[in-house]
Amino acid sequence: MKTRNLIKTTIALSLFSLNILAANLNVTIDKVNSNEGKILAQIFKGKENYKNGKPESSLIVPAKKGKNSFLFQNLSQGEYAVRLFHDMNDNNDLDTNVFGMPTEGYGFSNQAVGNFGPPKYKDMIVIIGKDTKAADTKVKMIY
Amino acid sequence: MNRREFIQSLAVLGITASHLPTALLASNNKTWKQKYETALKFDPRLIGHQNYTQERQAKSLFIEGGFPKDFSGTFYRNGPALLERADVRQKHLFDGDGMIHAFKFENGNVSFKNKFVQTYKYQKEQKAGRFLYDLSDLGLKTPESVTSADTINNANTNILPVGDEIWALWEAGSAYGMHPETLETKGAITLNTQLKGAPFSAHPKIDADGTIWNFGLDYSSGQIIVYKLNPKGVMQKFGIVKTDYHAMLHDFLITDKHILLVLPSLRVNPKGKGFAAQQQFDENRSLRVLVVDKNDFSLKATHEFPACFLFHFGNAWEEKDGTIRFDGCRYPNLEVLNRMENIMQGDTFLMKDTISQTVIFTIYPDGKTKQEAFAGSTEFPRIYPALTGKRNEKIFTIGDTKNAQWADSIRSMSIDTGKIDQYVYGEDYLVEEHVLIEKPKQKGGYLIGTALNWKKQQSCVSLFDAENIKAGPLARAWLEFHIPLGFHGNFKMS
Repeated sequence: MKTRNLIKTTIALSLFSLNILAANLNVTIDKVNSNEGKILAQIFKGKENYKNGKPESSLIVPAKKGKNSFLFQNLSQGEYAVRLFHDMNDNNDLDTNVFGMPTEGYGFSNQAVGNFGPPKYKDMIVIIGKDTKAADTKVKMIY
Repeated sequence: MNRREFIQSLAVLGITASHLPTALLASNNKTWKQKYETALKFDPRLIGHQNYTQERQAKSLFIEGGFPKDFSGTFYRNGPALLERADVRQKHLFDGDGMIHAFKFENGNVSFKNKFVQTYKYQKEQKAGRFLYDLSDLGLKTPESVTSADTINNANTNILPVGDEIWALWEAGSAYGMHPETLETKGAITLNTQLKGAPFSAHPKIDADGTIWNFGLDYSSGQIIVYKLNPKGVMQKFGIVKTDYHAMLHDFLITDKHILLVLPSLRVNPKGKGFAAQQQFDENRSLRVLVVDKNDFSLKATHEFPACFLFHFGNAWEEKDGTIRFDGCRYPNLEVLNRMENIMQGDTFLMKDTISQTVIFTIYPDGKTKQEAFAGSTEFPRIYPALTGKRNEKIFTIGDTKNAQWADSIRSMSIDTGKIDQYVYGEDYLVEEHVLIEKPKQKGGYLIGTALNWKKQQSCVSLFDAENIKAGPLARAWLEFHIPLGFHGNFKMS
């Protein structure tokens, strides 16, 4: 195989493998209420991992007032859920009041919002399909 | 008013009983709003529960009699006012948005102002022009999710002067701070970050030294938070009392040593649509009194009384031997809650179980208990503020003498002698809570309260000598319009 062909094949293969293995999920938060602190986000693959609190990966992005976007990269095919919160005081914890109600902004993929309690897993699902290269999900921030 | 009297009053209005089935009873297909509007045509007393949206001012009210020279301050009241949006009427009176009414007394003149509490809910729904939160099976097509109690906080229950603010109170979420003169809303109050959005009841109790005590029940966990605030509303400390109680808890009591958390005989039916519909009376569940230490918030004892329901308590105190006594307005069950739903659709028929009576509850040092009930219909008990937590002789209440739709009279009762000092406003009036004001540097005090004259369609505020109620009002100031029937209020001396 000539070198040129090898390069061509490698490029083709790597592109192909990217197609199979690496989808990106673009997460857009509708409204962050200040530039203070950071957004801590986790993505979970499947219900079990979500319930057990075992994220596929985590991200930290600086908070900016207004709309915020970031990417989870290299996601394989499957069912995902994102949860995030606005760590306004930079203590790496979602602060709550004495009864466990969050006192910092929080949100979930697919704009899932709970009603008299946390949202249901099924309402926050984002599907990365076999041929998905890029997917989008919106998060409604709740303060 | 009972059914017969109601029909008689219709006859006076030129309506015969034969109209009744079509007008009132065969209205199953009508909306809640249509039912109310139909009923209002037949029963003008229902004007007190009409949707009210207008914020108003009056510089100088028409005065009957004269207000005493030493009488200077503002009487604030709170209650549900906005009851409808986009042709949808709230089903329960508790669900209306709170409006603050302020009567200011100065140099013999009385001025008036009212404003809505600009809660998160009110502002959001005002912008949308419709109800966004379905609080009681309103059938909204795309209701918004309720993500915290403060999402639906309507701050509609009481108004309390605290420091240089007034606080509009609900019972399941934050207090809202407001300016005492302009009535502009400053925002939801966070006492500290650990307590952001925590429930703060509408019935704080104030010690003689100005210390503010309050509680809040977290419905989901059954934990009751107990607050101690200084007179300016700054948090001193708080504690948590764990219970298995998850239902409505409206009021509480303090003595000089203890906090009394009185848990009525209620359970929650999770299938009920809306807060009120979820509340269920359980005749097999005792009324429980949790005695909590004021110093460290520890639970000292739990006492039981036969099953009953109470919204409101007047006062509690402890005798030298440790005997605890307190009073409350006792209902045999929870029918009163249904009544406040029925009235929203114009049904004013009274059920006997919706009458409450004053009861003195006694807990002896050996744990034995006793109840003494006093005759007559009573609600909204108040006492001289300086006696909070100490022995009081008199309880001041409103009540009805002729099965009124709301209340028609005020009275004081001596718990020692049973002697009653009463003034009946009469059938033209719907009488609201009356509040005690101590006279500076002398014994006795004034009793102040509002009433709606449904015939005139005008509201008034009346001042009485609290030690001679039967003599009638010392002075009365009239608005040229009516204000909606509300819940609680307080007076701030100036």
